[in-house]
Amino acid sequence: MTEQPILDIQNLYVEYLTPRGPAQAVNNVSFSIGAGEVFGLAGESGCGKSTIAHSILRVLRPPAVITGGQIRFRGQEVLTMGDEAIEAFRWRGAAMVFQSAMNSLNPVITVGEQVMDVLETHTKMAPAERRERAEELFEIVGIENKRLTSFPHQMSGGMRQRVVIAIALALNPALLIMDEPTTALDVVVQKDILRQIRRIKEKMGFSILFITHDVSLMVEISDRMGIMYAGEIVELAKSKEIFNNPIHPYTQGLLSSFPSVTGQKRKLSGIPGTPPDLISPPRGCKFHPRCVKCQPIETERAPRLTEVLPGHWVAAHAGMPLPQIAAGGT
Amino acid sequence: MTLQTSPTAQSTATPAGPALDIRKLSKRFDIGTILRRKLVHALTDATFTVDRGEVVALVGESGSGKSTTARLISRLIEPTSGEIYLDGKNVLKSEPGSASLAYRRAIQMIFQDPYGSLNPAMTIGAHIQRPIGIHRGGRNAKEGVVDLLATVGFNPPAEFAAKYPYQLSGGQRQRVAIARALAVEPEIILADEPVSMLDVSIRMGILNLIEELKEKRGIGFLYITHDLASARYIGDRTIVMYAGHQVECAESTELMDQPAHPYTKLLLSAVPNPEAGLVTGDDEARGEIPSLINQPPGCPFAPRCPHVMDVCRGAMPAVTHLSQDHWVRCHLHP
Repeated sequence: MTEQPILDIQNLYVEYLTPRGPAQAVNNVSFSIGAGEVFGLAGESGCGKSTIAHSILRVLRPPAVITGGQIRFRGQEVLTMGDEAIEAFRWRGAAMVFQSAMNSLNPVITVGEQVMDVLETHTKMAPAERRERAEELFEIVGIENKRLTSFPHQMSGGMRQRVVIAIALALNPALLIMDEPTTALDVVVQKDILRQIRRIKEKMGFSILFITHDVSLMVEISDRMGIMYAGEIVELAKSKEIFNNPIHPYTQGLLSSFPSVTGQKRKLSGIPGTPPDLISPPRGCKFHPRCVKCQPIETERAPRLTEVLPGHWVAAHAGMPLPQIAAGGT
Repeated sequence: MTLQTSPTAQSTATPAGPALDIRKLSKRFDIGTILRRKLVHALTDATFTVDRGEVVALVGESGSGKSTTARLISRLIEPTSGEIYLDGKNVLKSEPGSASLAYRRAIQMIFQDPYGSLNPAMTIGAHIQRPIGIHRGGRNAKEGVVDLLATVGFNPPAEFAAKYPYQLSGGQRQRVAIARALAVEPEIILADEPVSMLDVSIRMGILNLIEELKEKRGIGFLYITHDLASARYIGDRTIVMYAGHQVECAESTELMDQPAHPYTKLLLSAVPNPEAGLVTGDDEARGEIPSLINQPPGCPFAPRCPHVMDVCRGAMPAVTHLSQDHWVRCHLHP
């Protein structure tokens, strides 16, 4: 990427200090998000994807500590920002839609007021302007204006989720972080909202960091994606490329964990075993105890993220050297 | 599978029929006051069969009545009307009030949340020993426990029997729940979203286990899910539900290849499709499931249906058989 990325994360380390010892939740993670790009982080629970999102906005709570790395937003270091700068960065620079955000609305205040609250706190808008902006935001996310006076309990889950997205968009952020924004919703509503997000993004031009455990959904919505396992990015490439040519055995396993509604029915294996304990992770490649292609070297030395094809990065010993795997495909 | 799946089929109990035969099962919840009567039509006229060695998938969005169906069959709640036949016996007649021990042995249930369904103070072995003790009265239940744990994939099983739930992962706990259901040698297992709370990489393991139990032990499963792809994966037949009604039923592959009901088509179009990507800007049915309180007459899908006709708002369509095993309730298929 020649132009400056919106967000650039380099060698990020985050630990959770637990009574049993530190858990390495995020381990040397680097990626960047370009202007207008939808970047995805996919992985199972506990792989560190939400921790990264929280690190970007600096809303991690103890016992989590960022122990190393840089997070640059438009070239500016986020981790060393002062109170004022971080206040300005949140909402305007980057805004977040949290997991099960639809339950985060205040039940005793109308949703319109909750949108206007954000505007009141963060802008100098007059009340009439705030109202106008709230109406505009509702229109953007596809809710009728008259619903501004509704209380959260009067709305369906899908509609509440739209309200939360409207709030996140209130100050025109350059980066929208969405942590499993549709996981609690029904499939039809999920599809509706994802389409809407994509449309709004194309109109307003912000970038998105999209987090989900659903790889097929991720391939659908994101331009590029990173697959995370036990706090590390194990594969990073264009989403279509990951879908068509997964190289890391974990990625291959994840993709074969989703049955399809079309085509030949085939036996899917999933991945044997369970994700590792992050306090005492396995030596070498953290995936090796579950890996069907494990080689002796993996138990000794951790593989490093390497560019194996243009723009396609993989951290694995298995499958290297590459040409055979790429040709053999799975 | 025969015509008996159809909600209109009316025949007397046939001895050689399917293990579980559900006829016109309905449940209404009264949530109003004396002055303002409000009825929630959670389930209306559910009619289907589940045979031994068969997986029937029940698919729909939240509020479509899937879980209510399972709860009625397990008799955790009593139906408003309808009949449940187990091996030809009308159980609501022969054992009104509460289910007999024999019925509860024959019909077991696995729940969605493997974290909430195990007792944290009991060992894994005790969880499985208890139903054996209650239903089979055996003192020598220990050996059975180890066998069952091995069946559901624990290795070494004896070691796991001594563990507590907190020492197990979600997938392992769900395997314990399955072993516990198997302990009483049931005919039918009702599995209510058994994998939706598990990590994606271990879901297939549980689904494959269900398939294996179906094939090797001849257990019938009612697999409840919101995920069409997994319904196709393990369901021999799939029934699509909408707002408490069954709207379409067919052999799973046929249902997804040739869906007839507009709602089935809508559900299929909403499944993430990595090949095609997110298609934007087309006009298809949108919106959400309607309120189940005091439903108007007619097809419940009419307000969202892209092909809605006048007749749809007036009357609930009858069942139309498109082929022997494929039926649909929609006025487009009169």
